[in-house]
Amino acid sequence: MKITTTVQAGSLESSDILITLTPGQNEDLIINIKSDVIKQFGSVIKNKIEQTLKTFGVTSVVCYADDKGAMDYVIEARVEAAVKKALDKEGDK
Amino acid sequence: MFYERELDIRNDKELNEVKNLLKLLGLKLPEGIDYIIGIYHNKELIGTGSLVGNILQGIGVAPNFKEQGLAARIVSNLIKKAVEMEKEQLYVYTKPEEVKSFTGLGFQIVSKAEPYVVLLEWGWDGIEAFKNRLACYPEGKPENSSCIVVNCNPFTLGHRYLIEKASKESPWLYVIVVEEDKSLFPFEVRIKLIEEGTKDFKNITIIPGGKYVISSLTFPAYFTREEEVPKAQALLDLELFTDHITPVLKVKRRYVGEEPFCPVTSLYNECMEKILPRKGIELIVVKRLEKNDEAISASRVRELIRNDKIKEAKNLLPESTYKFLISPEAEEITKRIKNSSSRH
Repeated sequence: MKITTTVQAGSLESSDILITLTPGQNEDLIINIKSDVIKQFGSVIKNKIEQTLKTFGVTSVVCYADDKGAMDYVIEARVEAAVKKALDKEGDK
Repeated sequence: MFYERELDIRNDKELNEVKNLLKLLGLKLPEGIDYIIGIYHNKELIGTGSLVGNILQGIGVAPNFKEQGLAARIVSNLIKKAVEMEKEQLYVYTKPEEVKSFTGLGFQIVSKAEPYVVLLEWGWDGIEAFKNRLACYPEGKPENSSCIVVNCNPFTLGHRYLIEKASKESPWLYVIVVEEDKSLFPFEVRIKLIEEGTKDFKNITIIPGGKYVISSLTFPAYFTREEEVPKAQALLDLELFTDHITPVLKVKRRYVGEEPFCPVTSLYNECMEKILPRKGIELIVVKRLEKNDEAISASRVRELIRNDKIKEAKNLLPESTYKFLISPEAEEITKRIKNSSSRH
């Protein structure tokens, strides 16, 4: 599935993460991360996002993540919420 | 607990609450608000923030409620709304001492005009992305090149003279064209006329200025009025220029036309004289080209158009600009000039 609209979930509050999904140009998952703990947890955050996107069958997206120290289940929930918002918006068209 | 919601700007009572809160914090209610939110505690407004275009303004939290993450809540809310409104890049102007509260929320510093103001941005198509795109221009070109920033509203023989002089004296010249459409001649036309009017110079590259070279971003209109503001704006623009643009283009010199008329531009030139040399850029001020004892200027050309005397402008313009002005293509623009009293 391709993401065809821009959607967001989460926030910039402490222990949260703001996920922004925008349409990708190619059939792949591009993930950009900003985080104070990128050195320690950058790859963990990225894997979690990628895995969650794949679980929901997303094949094409550019994802931006503004991390404020979110735990992995928070990341998962925010990505899931964003994908579902995208599906909802898609349904409205 | 806290409760947040969108406020109604047409509701005087709500607006007054916002005004009072901001006043308490030494801030003014922004003008031209597109979206405004309030945070309440027991029905009392204790926090607010607004979106004006793609700029975050009027963000404040009551003193008793600081350090509780409310600013993050306000900014998150504004960012989400902005993304919903399909804005990709957001900006905020703040005092140098408040910078940390925004960098902590994922904002990045674009430019600092100490001690007045700092410009920060949020998003993914920011100054770094702009620099990456800019970096392709100097590939294979000589270093120690020169640059010139122009609006050309429209391109005159005066501009051509300045570009010619700079081109002759430099190994390479970048002509950076102000991209923002606040002028009577639209960007597409301005840059086309520059390209046509400078075809014979072989060592120049014409570059669209994007949103970081003299745009309302570096010249935020709402900061005006106070006395030091024009200076703060010029500093913001020049710090950005010398921190981000000239290093990428490997430019060592900036040419500029002398400005005897416009006080804003002349102040800008004054600031350039101070800042550029400090950043290792030589500033060359060129005296205006005159015709019949009068400096050639684009504003003179616009004045002639306004007074239906296009023919008199012929000897102030390169053939390509003149041809354009009398072509049917230009009809709409000349009509707009006649109906406008704008100086720009």
